[in-house]
Amino acid sequence: MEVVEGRLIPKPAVIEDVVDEAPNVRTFYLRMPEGYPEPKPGQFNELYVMGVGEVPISVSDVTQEGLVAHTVRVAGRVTEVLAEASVGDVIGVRGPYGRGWPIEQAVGKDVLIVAGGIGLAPLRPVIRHIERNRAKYGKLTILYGARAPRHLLYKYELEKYASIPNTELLLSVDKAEGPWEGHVGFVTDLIPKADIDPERTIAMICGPEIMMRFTIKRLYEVGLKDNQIYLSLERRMRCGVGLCGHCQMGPYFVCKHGPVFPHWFIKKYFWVEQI
Amino acid sequence: MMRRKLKVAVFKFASCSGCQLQILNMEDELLTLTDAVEFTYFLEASRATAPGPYDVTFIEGSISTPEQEELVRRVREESRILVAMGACATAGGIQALRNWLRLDDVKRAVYPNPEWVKALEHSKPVAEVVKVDYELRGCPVSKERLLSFIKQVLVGRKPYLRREALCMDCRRKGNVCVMVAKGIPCLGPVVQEGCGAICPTFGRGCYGCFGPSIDARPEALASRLREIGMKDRDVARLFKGFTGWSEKFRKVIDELEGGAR
Amino acid sequence: MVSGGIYSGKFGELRKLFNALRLRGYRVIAPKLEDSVIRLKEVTSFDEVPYGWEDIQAPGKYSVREGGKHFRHGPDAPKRILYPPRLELFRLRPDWSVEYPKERFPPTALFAIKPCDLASISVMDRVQGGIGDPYYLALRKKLIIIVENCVEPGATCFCSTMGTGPEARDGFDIAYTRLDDDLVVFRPGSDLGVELLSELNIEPATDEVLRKYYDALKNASLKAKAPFELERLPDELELGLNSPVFKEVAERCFGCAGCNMVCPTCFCFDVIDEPELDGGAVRVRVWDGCFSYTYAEVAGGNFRKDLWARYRHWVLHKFAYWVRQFGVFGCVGCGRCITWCPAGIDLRETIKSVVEWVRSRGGS
Repeated sequence: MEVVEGRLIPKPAVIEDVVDEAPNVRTFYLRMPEGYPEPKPGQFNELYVMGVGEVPISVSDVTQEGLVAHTVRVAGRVTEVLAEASVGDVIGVRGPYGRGWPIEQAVGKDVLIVAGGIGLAPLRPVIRHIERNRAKYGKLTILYGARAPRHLLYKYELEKYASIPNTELLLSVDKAEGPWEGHVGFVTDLIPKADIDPERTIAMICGPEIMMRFTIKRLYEVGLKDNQIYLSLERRMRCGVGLCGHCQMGPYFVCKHGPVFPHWFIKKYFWVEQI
Repeated sequence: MMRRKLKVAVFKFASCSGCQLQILNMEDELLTLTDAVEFTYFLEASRATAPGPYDVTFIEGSISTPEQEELVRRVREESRILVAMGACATAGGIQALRNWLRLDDVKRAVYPNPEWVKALEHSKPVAEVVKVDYELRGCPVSKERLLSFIKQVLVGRKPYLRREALCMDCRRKGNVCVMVAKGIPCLGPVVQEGCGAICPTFGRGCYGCFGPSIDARPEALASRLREIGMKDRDVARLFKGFTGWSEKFRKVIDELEGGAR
Repeated sequence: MVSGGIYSGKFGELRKLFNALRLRGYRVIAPKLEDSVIRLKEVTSFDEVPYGWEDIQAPGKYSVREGGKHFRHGPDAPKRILYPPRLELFRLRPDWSVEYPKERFPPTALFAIKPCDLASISVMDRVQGGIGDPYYLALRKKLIIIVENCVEPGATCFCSTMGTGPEARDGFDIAYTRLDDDLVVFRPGSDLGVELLSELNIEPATDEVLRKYYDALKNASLKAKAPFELERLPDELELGLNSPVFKEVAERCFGCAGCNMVCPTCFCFDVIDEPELDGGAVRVRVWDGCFSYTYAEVAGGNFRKDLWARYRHWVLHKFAYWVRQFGVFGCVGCGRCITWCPAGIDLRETIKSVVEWVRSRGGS
């Protein structure tokens, strides 16, 4: 049974830190088991709570000390139990899985990040990567929207993104609920406001599917083409390794062929209702 | 993740006690369970009772009288997790057959002094009176599902039991489809899994004691049954049996009977 | 590997072949009549194989009768043996150590399976085999396949269209064909097949026998056709993603996933994690199907909440996506999903209608 080993077996990881991000959203920093490979930006892990079940969660950071962060929204029966875990608890992990963001192809180009709600989590490692390799990339534009200011993730570092050299950060909320200097409306409204050079930009999008579809339409308007647009999809990634079938979108196993896809590649299916 | 002992209560309403017996039938498992679970109110098992609040309350039976309505409301207030257990509690049960008749007629047919019987107009599933957190279906409930449910509560997770059509489970088990091979009407395609496909295993059609599956399409099955030669009246009867008062089956029954009239 | 010629012998040689497998210690799994249905089960005697019985199949209908010449495949596909419906994968102890169930993988012979089922094994070789499913591979390694070519395909068969039958081309150890009551034609497909046939009393087929053989298979091939062609089919179906046909057919569908279960290639599984009272847990794999409501459900919603979308996914997966994923069609034309559909829905008609819809819009 050695082939199953490392594929469907969760290995223990220790929770080293827990950060409350937003209502119902917490980030867990995990000390990964030995032999766990460093995840690339955009990849995900299967997190497992003993006897409860497993859930695919994007990597939202890898710290200098090698802790791997997962930002989890309480939404289902596994995340509900996971949310109650605290420092010192042990959960199971397996991964990293999937294809991540095109950080190599983006070298020498401008990078445009468009994120909605929890969708910023898988893009945070991209921001980190650019910050650490600043000279290799052109302008970084971050457009981020959430339901309300209190739902924005990583509030303690969000403003700092703006001070990364040659970076533009624009925020948007659906409802201000109090003092708010940013935009009120859709995150897609920020696209025409941002300074985007369509000739040299790679766009990376993550959020609800409807938001991603609107974003793509807006990006067309400012002159981006399909092969400059990348998006990360959510599906029911049960096994994570292309065995169980649940995450199919058209002919693609999102867990294995994605979750990040170039838009031209999936366009034929992505716009079809309930594909 | 095991915490303090789980306080469990079992209450009986209009029912035959068969579901409660399934708890007692867990025998071996029950012994291991008693380390983690304490039955604080379970008259079928012990006269000794303790007052609420309860962590988990299993309700057996339908709500058929005004007193029961009153009691189940009180039980709800005392229960953290309320579970409707069995066909009576989840769909009104076999006694819900009277829901299609006039209560006075039924009373007169059964009792010498019908005026003594105080009953509600309908035999109701628990969810028609109070909020139900989970349903364990079946007549009786499956003890495997009961045990799985309790274990899941013990690890602190929201219990999850698959609710797809029985056909999947039946065919996984290796049964031959009785509808295709024998022309026997079977409710399996629209009934929730969980029983282990007992009836089809013995060459009978499913009569639906687990009630409608998630996203069930009884109207499509009804058309097919008519297509293979069943009369409207017989299709309606098949659906009526054990869980006919469930919303989805009731709709089909009403359409079939309305059509016949 | 040899590509064998064609040899003929009497019916009794089949019995010898069966016995030779048993003598070599194989667990023999073969068609077997049980409660008026031809199952695929372990058999210990050649007499259990239902020669002399015939099945009658139609959309949503199945029966058998004695006195017929040729049986076909029943509801059980080799998948049931090689990729069991429910499999405990492992147990996790509270300290996270792993315990595997003890499996036994006896050398197994599939005897008298049909070419479509043989083809389904070659599809599984690409899917379960390609991804390294250990249970599958362990059994597959010790598998010997004796296939019976079909001279009388059933009314729901369309192997001829799918290119999987009625004659097995490769991937078997021995293929045989019953031409009449006492004339059987054998063809070895592997060294082991040659070895087994060496023990029989068979002769190179005469010109007359060969003619009879080719005529029989040609006739069979004309019968097992579906009203569509494979050429360009994946692309045409994808052009038909928005066809109303899927919604129309889904009106009759119950969404019971019975087709997923009887399909010899459907590979989807659900993972069930059950807690143990000692603080550990068990992980079990069970067959799942894309018709089930929860199949594409996530915490935030359901990507295919409507049955027509699930029906469409299944059809498209078999005839379009599968080709893109694994290089072959996911359908072998066995027709089980047609015969064993309690609603009597005919997949062939759906495909025909979608293709017609696409063509009527100038899409092809």
